[in-house]
Amino acid sequence: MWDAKFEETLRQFVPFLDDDEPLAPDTSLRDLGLDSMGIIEMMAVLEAEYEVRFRDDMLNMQTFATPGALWGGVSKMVETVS
Amino acid sequence: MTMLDTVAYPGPVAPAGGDPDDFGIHARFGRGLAISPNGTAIRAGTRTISYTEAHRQALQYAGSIRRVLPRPAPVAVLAGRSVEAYLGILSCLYAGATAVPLLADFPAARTAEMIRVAGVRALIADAEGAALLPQLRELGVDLPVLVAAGDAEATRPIVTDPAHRLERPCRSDPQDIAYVLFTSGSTGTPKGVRLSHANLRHYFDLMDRRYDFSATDVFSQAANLNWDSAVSDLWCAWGVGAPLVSVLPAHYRDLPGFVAEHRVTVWFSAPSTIGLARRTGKLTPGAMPTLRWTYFGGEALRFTDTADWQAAAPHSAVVNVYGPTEITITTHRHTWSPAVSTALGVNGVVPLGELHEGHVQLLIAPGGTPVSGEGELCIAGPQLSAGYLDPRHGADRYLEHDGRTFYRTGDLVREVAGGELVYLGRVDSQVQVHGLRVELGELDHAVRDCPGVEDAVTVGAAVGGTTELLVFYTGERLVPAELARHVGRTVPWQMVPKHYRHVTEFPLNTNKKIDRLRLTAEATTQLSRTTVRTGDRS
Repeated sequence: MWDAKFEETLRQFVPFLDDDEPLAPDTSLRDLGLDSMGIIEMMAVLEAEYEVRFRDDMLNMQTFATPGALWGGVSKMVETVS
Repeated sequence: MTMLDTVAYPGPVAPAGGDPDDFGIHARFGRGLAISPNGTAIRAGTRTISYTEAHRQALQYAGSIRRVLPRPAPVAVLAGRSVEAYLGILSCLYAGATAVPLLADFPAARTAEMIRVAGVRALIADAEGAALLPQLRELGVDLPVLVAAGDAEATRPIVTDPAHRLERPCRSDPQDIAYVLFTSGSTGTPKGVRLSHANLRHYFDLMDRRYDFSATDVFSQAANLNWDSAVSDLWCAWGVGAPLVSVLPAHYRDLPGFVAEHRVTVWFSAPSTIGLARRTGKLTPGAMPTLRWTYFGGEALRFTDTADWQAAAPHSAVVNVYGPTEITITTHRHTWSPAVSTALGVNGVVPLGELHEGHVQLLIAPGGTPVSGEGELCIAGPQLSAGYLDPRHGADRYLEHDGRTFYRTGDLVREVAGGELVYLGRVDSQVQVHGLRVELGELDHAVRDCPGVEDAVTVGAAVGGTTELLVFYTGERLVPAELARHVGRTVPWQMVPKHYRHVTEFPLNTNKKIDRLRLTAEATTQLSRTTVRTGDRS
């Protein structure tokens, strides 16, 4: 499961998820209101927070499909860096 | 500041069709071609195409289209941000046709509707556009299609072959329609604005006279192709033989880095880009040293944002441009100069500036009588568009005065020292969201259409330098995601509200009408408390 920093970042970009609702790993982020500009902005925040860089070929809807998929991508990058 | 720099005038625009009376705006590409035959005309991602290649390819596509449509007719370019999207627009004009740019990521139902109301007779599609064809066919759109990239099963393909290549671009008359651009309509039907070659000719002649663009410039292309500032980007760049660099979504994670890497000298976008660049942490002083000219338009430009951009682009003039699509791209401009701009501007917003030469402006009171000082802005002159596709959309939008036809902008302005205008607000319920013009009535209509909803009122709340949309609705309480999904069936995602509040009833004002002002204030308070993408988290 992801860390608190990730959850906090993600929640800023999903307007349709209420604060008291849990964030499930397999929910569609698009259904929660994440749009393509939200992806770009969230990516910039995640890159700064985790000191990683998303490759251009990762900038697609698959990478950002669900919280689980995105955390998978981020943790893999963190491992590669450390 | 490089405002007073001058370079050689790029020379007169030679007529596209070889006829001295040819007013076609596409003649500008011919001028660029003569200046930079081997230069890059378009860069989109890793792909580029030179002026010579683009010219040859567009002449071929134009020839292929003419074989299917012997008489000029509207042709839609259904595309994303590919080289083919730009070639498609050039090809339409080379064929003497009206270009109707349509975005591949708009809802198919809306695209089908725009195709229908514009009387589109053929399509040019890139790979993204081609992927939409089966959906459009289900909606009854089965037109001849030139698939410029990707492989799609078109039931009526326009075959293209080098043998079709025209000898030269077709000529256009001043009154011929070059572009149809759609804007939001309050009744839920998009409004198609018709821009003639003469309208555009006046605008671009003015750009040529006023600015020192040359083949050594590099133009950004940030706006979507269906937006009027994209029209400006394309033909300003192509008119001087400069490269046009498409700004793709991924570039926004480090926009200043993108500008510096491509040595971009001319930038044009909505001001919301500034906040985005700041939030990604890249808008640092001196980060964009190559920029010479920056244009912001489409929504209110704040002093603080302008100053930050200016610091990041110290060698650039920063110009606020204003004008509705109905008067051809822009009609007013104000160049940022901290002392003057902040003294003239109100509410922390940069002035709209001075009117383009050759035009007349008039301020009117709510009843339509001319007033001085403060009122609704009306504009007459050569950039006044050829009107809407559907004349009914023009009802109450035009005004006759002193033997001239004025367009009523719906914008409330004040005249300040030196004849410049400052923006005060709207006289109706239109808002600008991230540079997009949105009729709140269109959104009310889309939400009401959602099963379970009784009534809906959408308001625009000014939060963090831009406008956020919030919908109050009555009826059944629904999940926001479900409401958004329903609205997204007819409304482009850029315009779909992100915030929904269920209410049992709407507050009424003293006239027993829904109190929109109170709802707007309520929305502003609510959204200011949240942190959801509403602006400056720094």
